[in-house]
Amino acid sequence: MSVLRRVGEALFLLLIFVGGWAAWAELGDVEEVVVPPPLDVVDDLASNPGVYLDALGSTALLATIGLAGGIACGATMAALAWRSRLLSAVISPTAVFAHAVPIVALIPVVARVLGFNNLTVVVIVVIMSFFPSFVFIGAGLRAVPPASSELFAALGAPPRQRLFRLAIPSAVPGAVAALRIAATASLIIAVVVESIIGTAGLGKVFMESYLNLRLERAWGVALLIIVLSMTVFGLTSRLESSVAQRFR
Amino acid sequence: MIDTRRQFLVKGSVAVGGVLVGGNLLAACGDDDDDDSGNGGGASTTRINLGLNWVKDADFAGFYVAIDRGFYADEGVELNLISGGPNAPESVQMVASGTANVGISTDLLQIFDTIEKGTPLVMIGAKYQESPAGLASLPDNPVRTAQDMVGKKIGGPQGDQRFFDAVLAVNDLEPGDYEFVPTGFDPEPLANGDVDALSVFVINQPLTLKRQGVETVAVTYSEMGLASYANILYAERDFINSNRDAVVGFLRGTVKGWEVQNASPEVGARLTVEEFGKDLGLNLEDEIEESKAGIPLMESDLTEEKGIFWMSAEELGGPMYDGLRASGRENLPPVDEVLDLSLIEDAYGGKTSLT
Repeated sequence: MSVLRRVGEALFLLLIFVGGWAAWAELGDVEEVVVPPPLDVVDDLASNPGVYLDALGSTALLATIGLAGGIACGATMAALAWRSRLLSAVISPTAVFAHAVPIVALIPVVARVLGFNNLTVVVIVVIMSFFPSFVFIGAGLRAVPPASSELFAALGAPPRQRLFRLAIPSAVPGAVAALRIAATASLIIAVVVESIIGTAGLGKVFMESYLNLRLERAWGVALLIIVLSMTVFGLTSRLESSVAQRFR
Repeated sequence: MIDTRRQFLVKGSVAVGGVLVGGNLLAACGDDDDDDSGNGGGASTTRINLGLNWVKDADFAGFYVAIDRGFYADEGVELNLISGGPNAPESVQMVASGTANVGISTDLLQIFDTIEKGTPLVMIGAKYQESPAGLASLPDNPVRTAQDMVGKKIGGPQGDQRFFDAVLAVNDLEPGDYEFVPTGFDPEPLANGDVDALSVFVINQPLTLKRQGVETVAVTYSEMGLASYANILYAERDFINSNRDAVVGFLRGTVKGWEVQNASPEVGARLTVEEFGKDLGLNLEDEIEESKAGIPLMESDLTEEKGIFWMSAEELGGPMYDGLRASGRENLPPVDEVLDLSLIEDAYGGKTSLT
């Protein structure tokens, strides 16, 4: 479980991947307009770090804001649904409905209302990423240990105290699990929306380079997205396991 | 300078690949060229996979007519259409990867960018003598010239900036001197005033808007100084050399199909709506209208004299190469390397019409 060993494993996998790609691109019967040689991609990454970093920064910012908004929305909705049966009957079907709308249908509608800009990207990330928080935090709120619940009732604790001292702590592991699921999803959703209506970011750069057949850049962006998703997933998974231990 | 670096990169990555997957190195040395997959059909039938640059709408109606009437079968060709579209690979990639044997491309830029990357494409005919790609705008704020584009909000699908930049460059204006709004293929943003102009096919979106009661000013990039063929047929040199008769037969069938289609556009429009593009939810009247609107763009002095789908080496090497150079494409190959008119010549056999 040593960090060194895990880094070693990751590097080994990367080498196999890049080596196989190089062999395929150079020795197989593959044209450069279909698969760019890896060194062209590395060369483009190394010679134009500004292009990639700008795009990365823009996408990371929008995805993070969208994710924060999504978790806040999901948590608020879960708390309201927990508090009142009536609100629950309104919120739950709405949440499921919003979650079920395909992203391709959502993009033109939101873009028409809010414009072809970053706000649209953020709003779509919020809409697509609130659901795990709503479900997991909601489950956590309702999963308070019965003994504690009886104690709070016996001592006559008001609903506010029950929420903050009992239900919310019980929902923390769920919130972290929701973060792990929603974080990578937010990133991918931001990229997809940018590729269609974005004016900056990894998705826009990918789409533009791909359509102009600048495949070394398109693949460079794709690599960056993969590395970024894996990093986000690794970090949030770690957070989840340490939180799970503490709240056990 | 660039050549040397490329060679270094190529050698370097071969070495890396070889070290890591030594086994593949030997296996791949016996690399046989299987570009000739077109010979796979029956005893006397050659199958040709045609990679389209869009979904199967009426833009390809003449091909449907030729399949339906057996014009390809008469030539010993079995034509298989591979749909393109916003989420499909570009046709140049289908051809470069061998998925398609012949491709149709919307623009010259894409063909020359592919050639520059080392895939030897050869153009053999073109549907549109003047590309229908262009800009639509509203009459109270019209865009008719490159100068009109400057400072405007121009919408379109991601990647269409290449056309805007090329039009500006060929008119000695500054590329990028506009605000690009990524609106996709939807014409609504123009009607709503979200953009001042929209990248369109002048035979498509302006007609859609007109049906909704929105009048537009539509101008092609050619009219703005960037001359270009469109829906250009091309293939790799190897495929043409080893399947010459089939490619000539394909062109002959294609010309016949389009002659029938242009004489009676509802024939192909009906095939589009009811058969080839029946999953697309197209409307027969719209497809007929689009087909009719496209006919003038398929005709020129050259096609008058020699027949449809002909191309001109002088036009390509002259104004069109000027446009490519203005948009930053240096080191263009000699015209006779990328354009082979002998096939369309054989297809017509001295005639100017085949039906």
